[in-house]
Amino acid sequence: MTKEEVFGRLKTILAVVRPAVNQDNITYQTDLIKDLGLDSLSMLLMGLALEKEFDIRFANDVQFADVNDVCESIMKLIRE
Amino acid sequence: MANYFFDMVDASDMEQLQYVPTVPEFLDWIEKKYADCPALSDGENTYSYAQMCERIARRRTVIASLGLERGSKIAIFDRNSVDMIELFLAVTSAGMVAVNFPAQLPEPAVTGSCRRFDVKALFAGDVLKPACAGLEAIGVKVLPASSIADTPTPATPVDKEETASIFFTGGTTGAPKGAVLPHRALMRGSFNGVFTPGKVIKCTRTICMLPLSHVFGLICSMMGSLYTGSLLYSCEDMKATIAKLPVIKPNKLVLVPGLCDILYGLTKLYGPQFLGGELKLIISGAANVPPRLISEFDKLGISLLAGYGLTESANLSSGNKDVKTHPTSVGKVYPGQETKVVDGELWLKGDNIFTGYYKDEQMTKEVLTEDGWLKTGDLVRFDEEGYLYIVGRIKNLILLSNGENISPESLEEPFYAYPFIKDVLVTEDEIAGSKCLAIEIFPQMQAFAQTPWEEVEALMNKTVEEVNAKNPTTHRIAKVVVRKEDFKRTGSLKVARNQK
Repeated sequence: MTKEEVFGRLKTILAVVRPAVNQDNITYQTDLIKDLGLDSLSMLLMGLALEKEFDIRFANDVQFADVNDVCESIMKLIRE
Repeated sequence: MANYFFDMVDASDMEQLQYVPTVPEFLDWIEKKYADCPALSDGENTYSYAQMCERIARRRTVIASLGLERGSKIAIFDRNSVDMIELFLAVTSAGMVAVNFPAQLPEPAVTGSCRRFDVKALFAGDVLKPACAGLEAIGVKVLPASSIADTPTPATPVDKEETASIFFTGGTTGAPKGAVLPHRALMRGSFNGVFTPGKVIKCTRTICMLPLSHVFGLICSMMGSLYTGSLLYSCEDMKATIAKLPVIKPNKLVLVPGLCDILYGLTKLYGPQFLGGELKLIISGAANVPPRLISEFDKLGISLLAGYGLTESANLSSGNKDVKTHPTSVGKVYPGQETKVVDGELWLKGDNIFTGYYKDEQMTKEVLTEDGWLKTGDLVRFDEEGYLYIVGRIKNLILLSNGENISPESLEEPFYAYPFIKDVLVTEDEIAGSKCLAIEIFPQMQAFAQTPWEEVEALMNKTVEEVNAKNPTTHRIAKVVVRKEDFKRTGSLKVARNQK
């Protein structure tokens, strides 16, 4: 799976987590808190959805700053 | 009003339920009544009521070994584990006072809270031990939350006026305090938790998802479950537990509205079966339960019922089973709950009311009258049928140019009847140097995915005009901002009054 495919599927999930945000405006540099306003519960929803979507498991203490962090983390877990 | 609740529950179940005023008596009652029924599960191990009570008795032995005076404060610092559930019941049936610490407390706050509440011993979950590093230096004994002895110790009989627990709370005015709940209050709040429609005894499977450091989690979710012989799953890892919903298959959940939104989001991604397929009832509160959410879950065949209460009233003061006909009400007050409205503010009296804030006589006097009335700080109205509506908070009042005080929430309430609006915030603002009322509206964005933004703004402005037309001119909203991004929210996901 390419990073672009991961990015696309992540954006679909973010459309549910943050319906107010236009998916077209989301880039790899989009900050999860400053740009998307994710709080602990919406991060939880995002994490759950990503784990199910990609059949992966994030570490409990994983933290993401931006969309690129999330994509890189998913790619790493898929490769393992 | 008593019939509203007694009639709600299946008659043969209601005959079996009784208010038990202290935790030791409660444990004795549930052990006899539900002995072999499953009580607690962590997903791997399931304990019957008899087994749970025996384990609690062995935990009392650990507590007894500490040699503490009766009434000593013992903190429990863990995620929502079986250990934490049993420890709370062990401490409060051992003649001690339980202080449940929020699991996210950092080390300085753990140390500070132990000092503040004169904690003598603390039970810590393994993953939270690092935050307890400063406790030895202040003479607090730290034990693993898993501590359990080989032999049991009988419960210590207590008077219903003795303190059972101290809960962290923002209070009715903001700064964190310790609300002292005597046994009678804890147990009255817990008994109020049995009132849900239909059969309630030995038929519920639920999960302890809300933090046990908060009364909504401890009293409504945990104690309400045990009162009715239900099976309660622990929830040490929220993410893992939600992922296991299809396996656990809960038929009832107690959730804050923010968590309801999470679960609803998951059904949108993965279908309603993600919730397990058996969920029929959600009890929600602690923040405004929007009618939109009630309607969304209703379409999934799930009743989302709202309630109201405070830490100071042992969580449950009112409950609403009629959310379809009265979607913005928090329901009718529970049996035994006395109410009066003083200058628009709800005052409460009853055996569910706390005894005060720990070592804060001044704040206690501000909210508790000498004859036991609790001033809630909430502005309310009752309709002619006795349904209660929260219209605002005293401290949030806006002073209008004519000298009138108005709560922003009372101006916001009408907007929640529009299904295309998610949240609103009314504030004071200025136009050309003059004060005015302003509103920020955050629409239901998924409803407008294909709509040009100018049309969305036009619709919101038209809605404000419609609401204004029904209000006195002094209450009219002059400035409208339609948000594309969500509001900043508080820890319990309410819209933060201060958006800066």
